[in-house]
Amino acid sequence: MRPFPRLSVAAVLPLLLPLFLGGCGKPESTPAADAAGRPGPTLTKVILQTDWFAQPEHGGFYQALVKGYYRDAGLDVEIDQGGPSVRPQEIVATGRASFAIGRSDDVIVFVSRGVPLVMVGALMQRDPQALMFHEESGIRTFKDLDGRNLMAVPGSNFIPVLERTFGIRLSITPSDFGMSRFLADNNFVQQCFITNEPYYVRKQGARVGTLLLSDSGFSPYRVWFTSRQYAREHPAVVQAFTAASIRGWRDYMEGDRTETDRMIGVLNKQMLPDFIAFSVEAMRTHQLVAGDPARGETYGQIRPARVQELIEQLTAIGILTQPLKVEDVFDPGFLPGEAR
Amino acid sequence: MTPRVKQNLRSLAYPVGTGVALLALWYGLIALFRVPGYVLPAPHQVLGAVWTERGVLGPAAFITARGAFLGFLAAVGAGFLLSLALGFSPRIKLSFYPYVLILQMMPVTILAPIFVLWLGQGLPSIVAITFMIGFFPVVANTTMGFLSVDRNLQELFTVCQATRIQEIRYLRIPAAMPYFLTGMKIAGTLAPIGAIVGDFLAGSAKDGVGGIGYMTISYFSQLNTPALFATGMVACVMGFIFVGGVNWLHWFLLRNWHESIAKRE
Repeated sequence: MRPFPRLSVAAVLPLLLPLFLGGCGKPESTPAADAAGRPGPTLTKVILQTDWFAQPEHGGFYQALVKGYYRDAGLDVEIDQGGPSVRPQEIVATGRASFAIGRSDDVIVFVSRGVPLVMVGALMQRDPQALMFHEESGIRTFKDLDGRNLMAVPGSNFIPVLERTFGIRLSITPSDFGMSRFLADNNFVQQCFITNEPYYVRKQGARVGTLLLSDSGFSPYRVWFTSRQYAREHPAVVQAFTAASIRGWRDYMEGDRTETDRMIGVLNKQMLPDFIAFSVEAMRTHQLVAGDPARGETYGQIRPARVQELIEQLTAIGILTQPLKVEDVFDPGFLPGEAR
Repeated sequence: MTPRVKQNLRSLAYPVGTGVALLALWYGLIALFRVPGYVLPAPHQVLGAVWTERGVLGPAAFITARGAFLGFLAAVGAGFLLSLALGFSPRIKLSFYPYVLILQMMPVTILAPIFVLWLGQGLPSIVAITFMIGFFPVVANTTMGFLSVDRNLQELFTVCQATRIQEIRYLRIPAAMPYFLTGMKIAGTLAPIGAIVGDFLAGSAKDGVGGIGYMTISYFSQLNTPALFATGMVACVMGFIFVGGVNWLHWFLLRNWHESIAKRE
C-alpha cells in the first residue's frame, strides 16, 4: 500500500495552465444602463493597467472615464493602479489587462525579448523623466554628471545612452523611490519625474535643478500598448479606446479637470490640489503631453521616424536581443487621422 | 567492484536520477505549454546566460562576497564580545539583554534605508546590513553558551577559589565554543542574503556592474530572464562556498578545542 495517493501529472498540469494562457477569451461585455436604469447598448469591458498610483500623469484616462468618453465609445473601462512592483507589460502580455502604459523604449526591449506587445498611441510626446540635483552641486549640463553617483532604476536604458552620448561615466545606486537621501546630501543626484519630486523637495527647502532626459537626445514616448493577440482579435476596441483616450487627454489639458482631479485625490491620498496644479503646470511648461505644435506634434501621436531612432539608440547600447523594425513594435492603424 | 564502491555509486545514482528527471520536467513544461523564454528560460539558456554575462556576474559575485565576508566578520567579532560581557555578569545581562532582543525584532529591511542615510551608499552600509542580520544569532547562541556551564565544573572552580577572569577564560569560553560556532554557522548562512538585501538598497554600480542584488534588479527591469536565473545560480554557488568555508572553520576550531582539552587533562 502506498502511504499517500500519487498525484498524477495529468491532474496537476491543468491547474497550471491558466498561468500561461490567461485571457485568451473574448472581452466580457456588460450591459450599460442609463440614468433611469433602462439597459443601454452593450459595453465592452476593458482594463487599463497604469504604471503607478493615480496621479495627474494619468489624468487623460481618468478624464475620459469621468466625462464618459469611454462609455460614448462603447467601452466599460476599469483603470487599475500600478506601483513600484507592478509590471504592466507582463500584465498585458498575459491578458490580465487589455491595455497598459509605459515608456516606448521599454516596450521595444520587451518585444525584442519575445513579449508580444504593440504600441498604439502616446499619452506623452515627451517623457517626464528627468534628473534632479541640488543647485549647490554645480551641475548645469549632462556632461557635468561625469563620475557622479546617480540614484536610478538599475537597468534603465537612459543610463548607457547618456554615458555613450556625452562620453561620461556614472555610478548607479538602486532607486528607493524616496527623497530622504536627496534631502540629506547636496551632492545627491536622482532620477525623477519633472512633474513630481521637485515639488516635494522644494517644499522642504531644497534648491532643485533638473535636466529633462528627453533633452539629452534620448526621447522615448509614454505610450499605451496592448498585446498582439488583443490587437488582432479586437481591432475595433483598440481603435475606440485610442480615440477616447486622446479625447480625454486633450480635455484634461485644455478643459475642466475639477471632477477628475477630485477622483485622483480620492484614489491616491497624496494627490492634494496644490500638487496636482504643480504637476499639470509642469506638463504644460515642458510640453510633455501634446508636444510642440510647431513641430507638428499633437495628442496621441507616435511618429515612426522617432520609433526608428529609438530602436537605433537601443541597438547601439546592445540591449536588444534581436533586430527590430518599427512595425514590430508599433501599429499606426489605430490612431485617428489627425494624430498620425 | 567492491561493495563499498557499489554503494557509493548507488547513493550517487539517486540525486543524479532526480536531477535528470527535474531537467526533463523543466523542458517538458516549456514544450507542453509553450512557455515563453521570458517567463521560464530553458536550462541551456540559463547556462548560456551564465557564460555571456560572466564578465558581469563574476565581479558581481565578488562585490557581494566581499560585503558578506566583512559583515560576517563584524557580526562574529562584535557578537562574541557582547556575549562575553553579557555572560560576565548577570547584572549586565539583566540590563542589556532586553534591548538586544528589541533590536533583534527590528526587521533589517526597515533598518536598511536608515543605515543608508547614516553611512551613505556602498560598502559600509552593505556591511552594516549584513552585520545586523548575522549579529543576533551569534549573540543569542553564544550568551546561551556562557550561561550553560556544567554546574559541577563551576563548583569546582569555586572550591579552587578561581578568579572571575580565570573562570571566564578556562571554563566559560571553552564551554561556549560549540554554541558560538553554531551561531557563527547561522550567521554564515545569512551573510550572503544580508549582502544581497544590502545591495538592493545600498549597492552601487560602475559601468553597469554592481553586486548580485543590483544585477537582479537590473536584469529584472530589462526582462533578461535567462540572466536573472543565471544570477540566481551564481548567488547559489557563492552561498555554498561561503557556508562551506564557515563549516570548515567550525570543524577546524572544534577539533582544536578537543585537543586543547585533552592536553590540559
